[in-house]
Amino acid sequence: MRVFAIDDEPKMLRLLHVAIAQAAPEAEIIDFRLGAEAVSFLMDTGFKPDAVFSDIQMPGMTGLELAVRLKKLAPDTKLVFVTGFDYALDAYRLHVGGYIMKPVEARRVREELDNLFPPCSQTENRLRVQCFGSFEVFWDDQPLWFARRQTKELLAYLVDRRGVSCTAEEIIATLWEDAEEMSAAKQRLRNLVSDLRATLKTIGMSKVLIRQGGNIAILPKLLDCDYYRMLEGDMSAVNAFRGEYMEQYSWAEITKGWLTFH
Amino acid sequence: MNLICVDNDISMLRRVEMICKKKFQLDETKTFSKVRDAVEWMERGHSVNIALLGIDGNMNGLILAQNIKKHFPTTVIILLSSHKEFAVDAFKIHASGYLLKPVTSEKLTEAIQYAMQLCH
Repeated sequence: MRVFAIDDEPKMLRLLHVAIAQAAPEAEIIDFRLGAEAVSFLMDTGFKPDAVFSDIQMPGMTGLELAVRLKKLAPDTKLVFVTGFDYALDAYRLHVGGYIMKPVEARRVREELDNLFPPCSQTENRLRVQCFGSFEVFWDDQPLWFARRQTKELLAYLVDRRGVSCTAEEIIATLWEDAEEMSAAKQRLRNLVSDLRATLKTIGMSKVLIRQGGNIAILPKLLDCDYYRMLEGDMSAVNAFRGEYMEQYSWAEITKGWLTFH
Repeated sequence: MNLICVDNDISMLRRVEMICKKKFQLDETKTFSKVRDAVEWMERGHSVNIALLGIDGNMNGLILAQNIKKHFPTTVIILLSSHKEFAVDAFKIHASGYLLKPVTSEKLTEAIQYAMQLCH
């Protein structure tokens, strides 16, 4: 989770930062002294946080103005006000996600985060992978875009291997039967791996990919995958399998055959 | 999608009924002038997606909101009040909206529309 903390008073900002860090140890927190700084950072980098915790009374852009700007710039970003004053009615008018009265406590931060990102919807934060039929990857119900067809194929292969770590040689032999010289193929694979990493990074899911020495693997628990669910005995996934598995890749025949006979 | 409105102000209930009938396609719109009746209705197993709750007079509305959130965390709650000082508390129980009475029909419509968006 990526979070902005905004407060013009350094002491308050530090308290806010600590409260967020305690409430969500996994969060990546970026501090700003002014709402305007956060907005220009957002505009310059295109970096959209999941949540923003902001003071209201600040020089320059107030929290209320920030709310309006955020709605336009990053409509999916949730805003929580952290203030010593009663602006709650204004906050409701602006459809702000949450409201914490100072002094801020980690407990209240956690409550607001649980409300905005319900624990049961964490499945939505997993990469959805469809193996039955043709191989597709979805993020937020949108197909994930791959710059190169082969990057997607590499991910498909890693999904097929279910977290088992793969050597470069193995991948090259499977994906490119017509492999050119080994050193050239390895370079090509390295490029694809960094492309895959970059693609996953754009959606904040680079942790899906694990690199150990020269080997690579994916972390299965971060995926919501029909193939995995079928193996776990999920009946809806079992019924979804109609004899088609990663149809666009010839190397997937082996798993397909195995699934058909089991 | 089901909507309930609980308020001791009968005219508010009629307006909500009218708006829902004219502008929105809901499976069911139920209105109650007593918190007790609403609770009974829910205890019979009816699900509630959107709850518009009046909190004036006594604080039962706020307690009802809290209970609904506890049992059905995904229910979208909009509070109705003539006082603005409960708005901070409203955030604490994660109400999604707070309308200050008197409420125009536009504001009511807008709030219901917003609540429906949140339900998706």
